Amino acid sequence: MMHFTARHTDSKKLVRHRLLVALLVMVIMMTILMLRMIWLQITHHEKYQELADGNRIRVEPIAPIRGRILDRNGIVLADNQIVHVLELHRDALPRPRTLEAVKAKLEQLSPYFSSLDETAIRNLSQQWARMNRHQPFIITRITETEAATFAVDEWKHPGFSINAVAQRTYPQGKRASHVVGYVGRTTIEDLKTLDPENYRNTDFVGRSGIEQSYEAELHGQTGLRYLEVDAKGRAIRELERIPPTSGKDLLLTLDLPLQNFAEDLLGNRKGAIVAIDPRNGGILAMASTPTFDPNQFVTGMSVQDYQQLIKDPTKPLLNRATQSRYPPGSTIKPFMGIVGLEANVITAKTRKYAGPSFEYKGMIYRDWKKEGHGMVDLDLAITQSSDVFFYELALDLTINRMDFGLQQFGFGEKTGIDLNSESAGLRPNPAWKRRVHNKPWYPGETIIAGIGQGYMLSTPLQLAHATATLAMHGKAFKPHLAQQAESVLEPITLKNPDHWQTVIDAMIHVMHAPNGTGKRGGALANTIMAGKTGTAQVIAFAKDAKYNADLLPEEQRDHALFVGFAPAKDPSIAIAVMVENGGSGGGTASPLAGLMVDFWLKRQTQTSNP
Amino acid sequence: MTLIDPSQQALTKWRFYIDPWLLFGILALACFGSIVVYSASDGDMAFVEAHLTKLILAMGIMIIAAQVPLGWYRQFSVPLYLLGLALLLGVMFFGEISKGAQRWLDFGVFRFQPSEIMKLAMPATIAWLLAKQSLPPNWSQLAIALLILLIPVALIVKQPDLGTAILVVVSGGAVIFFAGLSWKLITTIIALIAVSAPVAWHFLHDYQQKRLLMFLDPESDPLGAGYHIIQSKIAIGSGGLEGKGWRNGSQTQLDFLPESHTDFVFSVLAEEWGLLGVSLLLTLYAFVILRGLYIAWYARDSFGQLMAGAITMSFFIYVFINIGMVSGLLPVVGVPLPIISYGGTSLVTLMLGFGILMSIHAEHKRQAKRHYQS
Repeated sequence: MMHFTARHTDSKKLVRHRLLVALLVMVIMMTILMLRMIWLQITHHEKYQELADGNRIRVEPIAPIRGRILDRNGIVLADNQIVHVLELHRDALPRPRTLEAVKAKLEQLSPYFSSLDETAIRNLSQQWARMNRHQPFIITRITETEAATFAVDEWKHPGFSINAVAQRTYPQGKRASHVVGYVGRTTIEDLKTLDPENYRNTDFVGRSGIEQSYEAELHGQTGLRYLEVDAKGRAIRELERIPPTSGKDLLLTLDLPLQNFAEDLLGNRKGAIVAIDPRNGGILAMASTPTFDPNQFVTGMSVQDYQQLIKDPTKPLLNRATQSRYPPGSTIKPFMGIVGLEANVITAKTRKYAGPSFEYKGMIYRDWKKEGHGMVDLDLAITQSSDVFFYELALDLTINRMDFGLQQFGFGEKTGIDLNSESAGLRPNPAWKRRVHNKPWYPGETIIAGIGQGYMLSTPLQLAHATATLAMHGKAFKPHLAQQAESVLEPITLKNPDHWQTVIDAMIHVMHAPNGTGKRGGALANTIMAGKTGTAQVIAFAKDAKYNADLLPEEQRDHALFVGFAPAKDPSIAIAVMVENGGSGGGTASPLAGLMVDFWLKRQTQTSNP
Repeated sequence: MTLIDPSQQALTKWRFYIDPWLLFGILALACFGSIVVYSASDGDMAFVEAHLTKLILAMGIMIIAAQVPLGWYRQFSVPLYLLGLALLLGVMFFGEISKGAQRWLDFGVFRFQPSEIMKLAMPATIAWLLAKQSLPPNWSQLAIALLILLIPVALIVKQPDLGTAILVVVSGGAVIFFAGLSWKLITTIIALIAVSAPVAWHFLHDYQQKRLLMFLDPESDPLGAGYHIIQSKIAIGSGGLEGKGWRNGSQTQLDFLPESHTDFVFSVLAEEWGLLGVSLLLTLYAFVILRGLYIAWYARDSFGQLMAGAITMSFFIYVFINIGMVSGLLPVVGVPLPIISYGGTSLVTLMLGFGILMSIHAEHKRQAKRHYQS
């Protein structure tokens, strides 16, 4: 006990010793500060006094005009409109410059402006303590007539003035809103990643879509204005001006009429349609429904409206073409066919018996067709979408060869499109399953992967991209929206290039043969097209259960899928269609693709022969 | 035997503890600060009212914190530290996702930053650890203390918030220093920092590098990043001995001085009140700091000593970094001038620290009370 007390006293002494050291350090540091102050305020006082007296130049940033976004025909998708606003200049107000005085003044001004209502005044009150009192604050948007009327009397109301500012506007409204994106108010957090100097006077910054991914080019360079000010800080004249550099106009590969057509085809359904020009990777249409109106992000919306938008179960802000992942279902089969042919697991002539089901190690894998397809070769297996043929093919191919082959077509990889937050989909393999689920890979999983079910997930964009590559016999381009972003990818070369045609012929039969699953779409295309339907299961069924769409709630019904391209001989468009809970690929998705092809080819003849 | 009349005993059950000296220093600083903020905000009472509201709220927290027995702080230091760590990780993983929503919804007066918890929970945890045995700490204790210090700091640097990271390092480092870290190790650590500085450079963000470069040569970009430092030095220097007078500083009133009511409020004071005003301010700060050291000197146990020392040291470093940065001695790292600067999320933490300081001193009276009661 004695010992403990003694040590305890030692501890106390030690800390006290250190406290003395700290005091000494603090005294030294305080002295440094005092010496610095004496150096600045006494020794060099005159120099700084002169500098302060000569400080008569104020620098003000001038915001650049944001670049526009245009479709391939030059139709404006994102524009800047000049709007008139009523501005408050707090440092020009007569004293006292209190909120109450400003409110009273606004009361007097309300006859001038119809929009100067309670909401505008409440907004001002909320911002009052936080706003920068040296920068004009926009009280409300006003009409041109109101601006003209007030201009006459403006001198009577110091601190209030009319200004014209450029505001982002999306003339197409809800059209192509996922592609174009929107801008939102610049926040302090934004300035941590953006160049604060260049964004000194920028109110809006790209938040999604092209607006976000091409922010650097659309924004432009902020200019500067050097103002001479009098002793009270009022600007006397402008000494020099470095004009701002406007942002670049961005020309997209998108065709607005085709985009509108695609959105109308989807209508009230949830889904996505992606159309690519396979000859260069340019996106012709990228529809995702439901859509939203980007204008409301610019003009501002209430917290309730915003909450409603992000909590909407149909997720209108989600770009289903690039961000949603779906099982590809049977649309994977043409690609499986090519991989199988190249691996010599099958030849174009290989015939297999495709009965009602496939049995492996005591497990039954059923075909979608109850009575089966009989003896089929690859052509017929694709035309009629035999499941059993591809179960067996997948098993013979093994998951690793399948995985490698599908990777070449871009499955499970980001396409690199010029939009942020693209999903990579999911291409399962044993290594992935070990890493994520810490479980071994089962052969049964290889079997169902053969028909694009199980873990496999892809985005509609990935499907369209893979189809475009197939259409071009392996020549691949990076999918892109801005014309400047065109770039060639490593092509897929086959040991036997005839395999391309074998599969493409089968895809033509899908569309035009009397037993083809996509014949309803083929009939609408008015050209020879190639395609493949897909119906992706959303939930698993018990062995004997029969799928009956009418008995299921909507969100458990199958997804309807389709991939294809046209004209089959000389492709100018590759398409992927996905309708969430839309039913069958042949019945729902393929007609949409057929109509898209018809619309696009007619548009091409119109534009080339006016 | 008891000397107290039984009818009076009830009174001894609850006693109100407050340190009048600390309270006086803080109130004097708060009054001075409000006068300066009034001028810096161009005579806008709304600013001063908001400033005073925050100060009064924070001082309320201080007074409550002073009533809490020191043992509670010791007990809750580790759970609080772990909570802070969890929140920091939360910010790292979920901060990004919620950003879009946060931009739209503004959460009023006090914005909560998990790193603020660390400014007190971390030194308390280290103090708890080191005070368990007699000082100086042995090697394994030191290693654990260093780990407790570095994990949250690494997370805060990643956020990125360099200013807060420095302050958190100081608060934890002070505890280890007061606990008797050997001088050999101190020299080694300083040498290591000097060597690793060039490496750390690469981990800084662009804007942080820019600030450091500007600090070394502000004149190279007089209208860009160096503008703040140049204008601030002009404001201070032109103030002279007596200053230009309240609300007469041309740098402040003509808006040449940036962020005049927050980080650069000292420059407003120096311009309008001159060297005399600066001396008054530093005297008030010195008064508070000396009282803090006094409390540490007479603290009843090691935990109290270490905490009191660390809180006082952190407070001093706050002052030093802010004045150093606005006068061009240190790079601009975004640390407000304690108690004087308008707003600041750190005000609550600061006052909570003073509350703990008061509680440490109150231990003497609490002990006497316990003695009486037994």
